[in-house]
Amino acid sequence: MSVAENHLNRLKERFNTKLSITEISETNRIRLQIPVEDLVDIMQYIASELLFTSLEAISGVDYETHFDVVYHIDRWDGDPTVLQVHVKVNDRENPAIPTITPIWESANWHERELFDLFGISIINHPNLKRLLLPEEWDDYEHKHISELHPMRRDYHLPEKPFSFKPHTK
Amino acid sequence: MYIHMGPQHPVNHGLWTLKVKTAGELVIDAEVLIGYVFRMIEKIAESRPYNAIQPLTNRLCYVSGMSWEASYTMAVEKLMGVEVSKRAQYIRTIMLELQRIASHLTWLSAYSTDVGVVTMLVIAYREREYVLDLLEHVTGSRMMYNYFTAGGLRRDLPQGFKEDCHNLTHYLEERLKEYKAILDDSKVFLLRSENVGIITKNDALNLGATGPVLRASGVQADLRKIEPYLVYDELEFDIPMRTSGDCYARYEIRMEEMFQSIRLIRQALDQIPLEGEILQKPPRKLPKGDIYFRTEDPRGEAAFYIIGNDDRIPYRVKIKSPAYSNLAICNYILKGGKVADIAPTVASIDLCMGEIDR
Repeated sequence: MSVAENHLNRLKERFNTKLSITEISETNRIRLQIPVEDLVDIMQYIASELLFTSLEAISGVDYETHFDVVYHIDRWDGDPTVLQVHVKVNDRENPAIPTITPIWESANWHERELFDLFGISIINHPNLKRLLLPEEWDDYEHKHISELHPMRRDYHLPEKPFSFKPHTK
Repeated sequence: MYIHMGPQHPVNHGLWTLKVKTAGELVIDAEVLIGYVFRMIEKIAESRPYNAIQPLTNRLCYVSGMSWEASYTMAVEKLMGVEVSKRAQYIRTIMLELQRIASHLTWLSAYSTDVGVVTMLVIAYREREYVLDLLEHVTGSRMMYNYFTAGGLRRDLPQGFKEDCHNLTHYLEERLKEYKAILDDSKVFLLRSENVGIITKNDALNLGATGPVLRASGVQADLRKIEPYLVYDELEFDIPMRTSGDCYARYEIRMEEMFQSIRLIRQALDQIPLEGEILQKPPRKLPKGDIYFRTEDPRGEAAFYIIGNDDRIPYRVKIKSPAYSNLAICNYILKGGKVADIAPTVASIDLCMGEIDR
């Protein structure tokens, strides 16, 4: 049994009914789909029992019907396994997920970026502010509500962005 | 008292702001503000074919464009299931290691200037110039190379590259030994690096540090060993590791890595096969599915999470930048230190704002 299978079996034993997708691709990528309610529990188990020490990235994906939040978690002790945890957020009006900063401090900026660019609110985040866009971005004049969170799919880039037109008299 | 360092300040290389709360000489609190060069590369990537994104990835980092285009190209190739010939893989490895040396030399000149050894500013840049000359000879460009492409490389090595590269490795090895001796004997350098900006092993892991910062804190982690890509599993090299976790350890790691890169380049030059297809035609469309591909950038783990949708245009491209992770730990390191320690600490984590703001 490979190392990745070993990790997956331990996860299955503990959270059997809660994992909806479990598969291993390219020998060391474990893909999991978990519900939002059990996110903190499962992440706590991954960090403290499976000893996945560092969270590398949190990516938001807008599927137009729902949001998908993808966590990539790995470890640095020579084991090449990467956990890819998908969380589905169905509510498009007020999307929200719980924070995992108490488990991995590195989630702080990634969650702020998620809030900034996708508008997914983070519950109990220690410092929930915009990260890449200016903090007062909401007070600006916006043509469309989607401009508040530009990584959503309904925000379209202009055909010719920022083209310079010289004044002609 | 509050001190605002930035967006234009000699301490931060690039545009970002460091807000520091001080009590006398002590730093009580620090906050990092970024986003001054936010170009939305991830969004632009959702609107153009996958091969038109590759020039953008060059612009993520202005000192190591090659490693970013390599990371992106290899992620796309893995998603499409394209296997590159052995010769192309060896050339890629040589290019990446040359780029690593050029990037670390840039860092060395910036860092030693910040801690007061201003002589190194010019010296390190001169050696970097020779590396860039060689890269220009191969790719035709000094910064935005555009050399890697899905399916291989844009062109083969020029005539006489092998001899030039061998000569350069010998030259660099001699010179780097000299510079290490200069810096290790400099009292100013040691005073401002040793026991400054310490980060412990558990903190480094939990806060998400990668690359030389993580290795300086006692974790022997390098993706070239953990998850070998290209031909790194056929070559011999060591992963340097230090346990003190201060600025001096980070400097030692990067110095050691340059020597290891030289070792890698020499082996690759000797083993490079003469025959092999340089460029093969890649498929036009990205298949349905997703990939998380990571490489060891000069700064740490650089990764791309790409979702394909059976189309030329990817559905989503997520860029995981190592400098972003390392800058996020900055305020934790600075807290409790002296104001004068801010400059070496910030410089020692090797920032590049292009890839942090994306």
